[in-house]
Amino acid sequence: MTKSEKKIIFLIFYFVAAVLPLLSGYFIYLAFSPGLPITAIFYELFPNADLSCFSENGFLKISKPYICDFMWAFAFTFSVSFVLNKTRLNYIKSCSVSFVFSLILELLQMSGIVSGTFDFADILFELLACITAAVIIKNFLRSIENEEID
Amino acid sequence: MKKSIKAMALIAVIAVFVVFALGSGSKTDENGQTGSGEIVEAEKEAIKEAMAAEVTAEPTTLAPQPTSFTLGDTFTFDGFELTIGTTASFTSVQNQFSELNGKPVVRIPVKLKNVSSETKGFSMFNMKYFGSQGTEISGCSTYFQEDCIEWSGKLRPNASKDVAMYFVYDGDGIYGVDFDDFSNKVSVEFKIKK
Repeated sequence: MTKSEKKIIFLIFYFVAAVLPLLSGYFIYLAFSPGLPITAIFYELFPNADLSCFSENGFLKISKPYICDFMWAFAFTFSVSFVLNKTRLNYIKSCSVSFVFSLILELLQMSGIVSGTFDFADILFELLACITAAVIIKNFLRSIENEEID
Repeated sequence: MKKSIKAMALIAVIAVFVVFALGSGSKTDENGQTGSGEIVEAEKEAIKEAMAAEVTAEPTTLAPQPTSFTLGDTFTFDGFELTIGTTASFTSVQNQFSELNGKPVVRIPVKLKNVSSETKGFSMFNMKYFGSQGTEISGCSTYFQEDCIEWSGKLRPNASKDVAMYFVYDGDGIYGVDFDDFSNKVSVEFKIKK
């Protein structure tokens, strides 16, 4: 594998891992919570969009907040990891930074400083997402480092 | 130099994700939230009073506009015939994790009938609630999914279902519900008084 090929794989991996979960979470919010500030922007741009058919999915109905929190923390960890590229113990630092910020936001929600609903389960799901992402990042970085450069 | 660029990029990433997180948080009402779900004594009393209070919902006299209705009226919208109930009642959100926990909520019964020729569900995206101040307020469908209009499910042609509209009480006054599917607009206005 050439150095440029490695770089392309690296970029694709991080793009998919950071952007797709974020978009998936956004899509769920679009279908279930059209009145939120981030979704209202979409419906102002596309007033004829109708995602109501997705809002009848029973599984998503129940697990929506946890899935979205998981996706957010997962994408956040990957984005931080991308920025910290080539930093020693990248995956631990990324995981820590994203979890600390998740925790801060939840605590701010609990205290009423920012909007949103505090839920202890959110913190657990965000922690799970950060750890999952860190494990994937660790394995990916290790495998790409072990690849021999032609 | 490289370190400062990295630090700036990290701040940018954090800022983007914080914006996403804040943007997906539901709006708090002007009274704020009740902390970690604990209801203070004063609020408990307010809820008791709200539950015990006799609710008088007086239909307002509106100008004769074909798209404006009030309590007790029947109209068709998006293939459904909606009959708005004549009396409103109070309930409250019972969810310790919600910022609306314990807050008084208005319930207005609605009879929903599918008058179209296809099986279809009433779209929650076509409704907006307006409070006594004329500003948009939160619907509470999430907490009353068993019989709220937003989660009424699909109805076969000519099938009907008794559902209800739930929204946050923000004081006595004229409340409104706008139904808008981009081709038709119907407005329902009514007076709520505790």
